[in-house]
Amino acid sequence: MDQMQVDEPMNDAPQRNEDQQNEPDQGKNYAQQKDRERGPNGGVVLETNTRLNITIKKMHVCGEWRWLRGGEDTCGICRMEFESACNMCKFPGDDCPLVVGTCRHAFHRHCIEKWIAAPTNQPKAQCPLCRQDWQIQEQ
Amino acid sequence: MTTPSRRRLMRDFKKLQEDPPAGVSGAPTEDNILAWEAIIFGPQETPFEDGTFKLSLEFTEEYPNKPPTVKFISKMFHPNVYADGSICLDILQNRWSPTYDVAAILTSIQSLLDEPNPNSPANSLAAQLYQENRREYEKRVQQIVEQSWLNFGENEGDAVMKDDVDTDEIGGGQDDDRMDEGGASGSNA
Repeated sequence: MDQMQVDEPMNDAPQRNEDQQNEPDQGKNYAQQKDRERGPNGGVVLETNTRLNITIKKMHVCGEWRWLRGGEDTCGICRMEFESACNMCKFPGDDCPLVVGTCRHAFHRHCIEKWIAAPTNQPKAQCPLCRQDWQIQEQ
Repeated sequence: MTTPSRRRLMRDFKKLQEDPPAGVSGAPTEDNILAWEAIIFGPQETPFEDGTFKLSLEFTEEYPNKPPTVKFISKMFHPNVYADGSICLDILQNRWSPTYDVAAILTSIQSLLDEPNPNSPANSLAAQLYQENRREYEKRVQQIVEQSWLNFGENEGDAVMKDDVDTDEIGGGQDDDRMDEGGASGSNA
């Protein structure tokens, strides 16, 4: 058993060199191979430098996004992260983007709009954090 | 039913549990997240030291764009607290900000205890004694501190605060236990 295990890589060695030479074309090869080789359950067979057979059956793709001008992590009014929905929204996004004041404090659009309209905040709209007059900073 | 204000209050409660400020605790009542009960411990090295003062906080669907109504349930003797327990504190009125949360409200009230504002008296006797006869003022405060212990357990179970009450009350409870042990051991006598 021990000997076999030692032998295996030796046998593979020439193959591996070939692969390395082909490396620049690997992307193309993979694309071709993707069409060519399908696993038993319709998965994609990955080319490897070993004798392992790897078939990708399923993949979960995750993405992350951030507002460009976030600064601090959470909205001081709703206490939710800027990238998650405000307390009035179901989903985050362009309907309720980040709004930055001339004082540089940022809030969800819905949160600051509701505060500006609140009777508590009359007669003049102030930033909830620094009490300076609230004015939106032009982008 | 969740609304923006209820969601925000859940967030406040979570923060209060995960990162509890020293000397205050609070929780929504069992059946209504808009009604909270809280306890403020009298700050050390002040006449209010060792007091356990109960408060109620009533929120509306406008929160956090409108402050809650906060009242002392325990009897209070303080220049800025009315006879019915309501509190005269600028951040609960015209200086309110939607960035305040329950933790901020409670710690503000806690620091108000030893830093009264004599310019807006809600209890004229307390304000007068605070300025003119500090010894008598502290004597009166001591009385309500002692009353806060007596009334503390009375309404126990009203609120979901049971966990908090248990841990916070341990101070009082343990003292009793210790006294019992002392009595039971007998050999000391």
